[in-house]
Amino acid sequence: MLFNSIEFLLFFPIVTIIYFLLGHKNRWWWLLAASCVFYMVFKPEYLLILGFTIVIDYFAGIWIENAIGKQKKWFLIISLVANIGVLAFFKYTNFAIVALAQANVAHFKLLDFILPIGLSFHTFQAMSYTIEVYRGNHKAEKHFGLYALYVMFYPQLVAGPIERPQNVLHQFYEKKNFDYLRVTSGLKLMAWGLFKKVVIADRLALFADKVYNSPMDYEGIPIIVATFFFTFQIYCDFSGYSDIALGTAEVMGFKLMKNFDRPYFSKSISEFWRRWHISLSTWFRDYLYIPLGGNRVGKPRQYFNQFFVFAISGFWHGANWNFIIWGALHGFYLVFARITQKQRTAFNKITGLEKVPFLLKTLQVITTFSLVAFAWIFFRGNYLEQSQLFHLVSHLFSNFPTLKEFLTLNYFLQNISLNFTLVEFLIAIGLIVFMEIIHYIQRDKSIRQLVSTYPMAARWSLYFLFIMAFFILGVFDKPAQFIYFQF
Amino acid sequence: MKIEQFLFKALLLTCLTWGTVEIVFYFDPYKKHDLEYSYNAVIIDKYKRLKDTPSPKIVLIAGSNFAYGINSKLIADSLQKPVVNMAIHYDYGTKFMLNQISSELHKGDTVIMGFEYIIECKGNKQEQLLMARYFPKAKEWMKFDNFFEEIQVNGQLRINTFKTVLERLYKNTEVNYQILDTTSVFFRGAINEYGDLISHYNNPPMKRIPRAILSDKVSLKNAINDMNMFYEVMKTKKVKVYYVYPTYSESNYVLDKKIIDKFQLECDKYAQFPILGKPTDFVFADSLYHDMAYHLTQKGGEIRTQKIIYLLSRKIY
Repeated sequence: MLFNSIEFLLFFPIVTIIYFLLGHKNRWWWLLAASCVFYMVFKPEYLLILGFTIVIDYFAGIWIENAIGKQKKWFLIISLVANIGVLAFFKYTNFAIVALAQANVAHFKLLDFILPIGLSFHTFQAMSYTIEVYRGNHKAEKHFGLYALYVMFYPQLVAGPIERPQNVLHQFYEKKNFDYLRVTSGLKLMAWGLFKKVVIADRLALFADKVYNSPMDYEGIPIIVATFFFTFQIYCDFSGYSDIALGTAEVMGFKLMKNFDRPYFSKSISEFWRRWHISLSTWFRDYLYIPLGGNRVGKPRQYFNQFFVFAISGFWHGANWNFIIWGALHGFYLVFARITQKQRTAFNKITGLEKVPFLLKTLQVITTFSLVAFAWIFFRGNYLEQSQLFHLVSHLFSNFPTLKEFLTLNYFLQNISLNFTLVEFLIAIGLIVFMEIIHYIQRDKSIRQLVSTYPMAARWSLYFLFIMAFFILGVFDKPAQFIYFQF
Repeated sequence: MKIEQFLFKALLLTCLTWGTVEIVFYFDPYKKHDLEYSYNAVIIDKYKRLKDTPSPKIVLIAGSNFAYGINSKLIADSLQKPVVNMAIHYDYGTKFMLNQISSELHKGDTVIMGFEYIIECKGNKQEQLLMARYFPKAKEWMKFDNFFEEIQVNGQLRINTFKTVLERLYKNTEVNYQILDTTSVFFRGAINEYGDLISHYNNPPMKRIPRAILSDKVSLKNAINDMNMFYEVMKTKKVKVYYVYPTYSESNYVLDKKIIDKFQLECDKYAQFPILGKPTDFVFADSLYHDMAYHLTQKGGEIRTQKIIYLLSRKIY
């Protein structure tokens, strides 16, 4: 079930109202049933896969806790093998078959099935549970229903945030009353998330798709413009989803982890990954990078580990070389930044940039943004053939116009506005600016709390105008799935 | 605040916001104008002709490639049967378009289908519902997959109408289309008495026919299935049914030949209805096209029609 669908528009109020009408003791099974229905709308049979990993991990958690010595490790391995095995089978088998065929090693028939939705997310969330039990950071959950709910909790089931048991499980034991301020705060967050998705992301997608659906027809400025729009499209799409997930949970009294923190204001790639898809980057840090040695090993090993973890992160996104390249590129950025730290600091000192902090920060933000945007070419072009991707990358700075050509309306409409009208282009830019202003304001104050302090007439006028803006500016003709649903 | 009070407030806000959209939808100040000028309303005239034309008749059904590129008078004069051109727009989908004509077909009638390579089975429900706004009978030709889809499509139509009304109020311009002008193409009065689109005859054609969008990931199987089912029903009614490939501009055919060959293979494999000719029979020089790969000029339409007459005559005689 998509968050931006009619089904969810009916599902959410029904589930939430009944949730509040039920006594605390009965709420867990109601949420579990609702989560099953939520998942089954995609493909009912795949509930069995989810059920399989839930059963394995539930018992693995208990066995790990009760086991002594090396046995603990074996039960953890059973859990990890089950989860990674399911993930590998459904997500990577065809990739392996194609790779083996291309290398002339072996030839197998491709498997014909749809990837279970949210597989990458809920397997990682399940693995975080057994790992945390193994590490002694969390007790094994004895209540099977509550453990199942931890994995299947519908707000975050299909596209995260990838939660930790310490954050979520205890919340299912706590009694949640109807709280007007909390409920309206959650609804406002959901509305903002939906606005980012339907109004901003789906609108920017029209521009990005123009170029990325016919890459060979474009060179230079149009590719840059489309990539710029995609950079914001993917942010609005994914953070919009996360906002809806967090808002949905908040309405019912649950607090999920923040997944985005104004990532395009980052001054470095490492900062970017502390602000983008936080639940995934912290998962890889805690469960892969640190076990590989983290920062405790020598520099060469550290750099290799960082590069490797990011390449794996790319692979997590999709069984496709372009995703691996995207991840590896970020790994390269990070390693390069660390290797050249001293030189860059010296450069800032020599040029006097460190004496102008505002200018230095601005340059750092622009550089980081440009590097991230460039990497998005591989992400967005994940389904493109290598020749098409190569064309995009190699023609990024070609066919630039003269200044005279550039300053013509015709050039603007064809190459910058990508044959959309000037009004449509300005709306797209205006929405990006509006969103970033909201982010800027939210650095030190919560807009939701601010709005709740306004008098009723002002609040309702704001709600009415917001909803009307949603109807007027929203892209409803081609409702698009959330990008991260494909992972 | 208690939950009941909150729910009341939420309901009130919903009524205020969605109510505004509904009010604009029902009291649309441009509805009367659109009934007269909207291309979606052309079904009123085409369907009247279909209903009023006695059997045996020839009925043409497809998207705009038939609306643009057929000279129905030539067919009528050659085959000595009245012709009704029911083609409007590919986006209605095969199911809807074939439902449009089914009930008005009788023994002795001939149907020529000419669906485009981009045809879909279910079609764009919003377009269908928009047609139904002007011609309520069109609702009978629609089929929603489920209750949720029905709500979604109706909701989308209302939101789109709301947006369009606001835009038109802001721009404050009313366009009245005419056949004799050199710009208008798609409007209700754009057809002749047979249902052929003729408003583009005066308009200068594009210097370069744009690149068509044809995906090799798409299949015509579902559309072929619909045509097969239609063919079986028509057989029982003793109505003859044929398919001709859509017209396609030469420059685009060169680039999309592989995909079109694939479509032809699908037709050969799955079609139970007779097919007249091959795709290349309806590929012409770009100079015979008006504004896109499927839209012929008046001259192009005549050449294409002669081919259909030739192929049909060979089948009949």
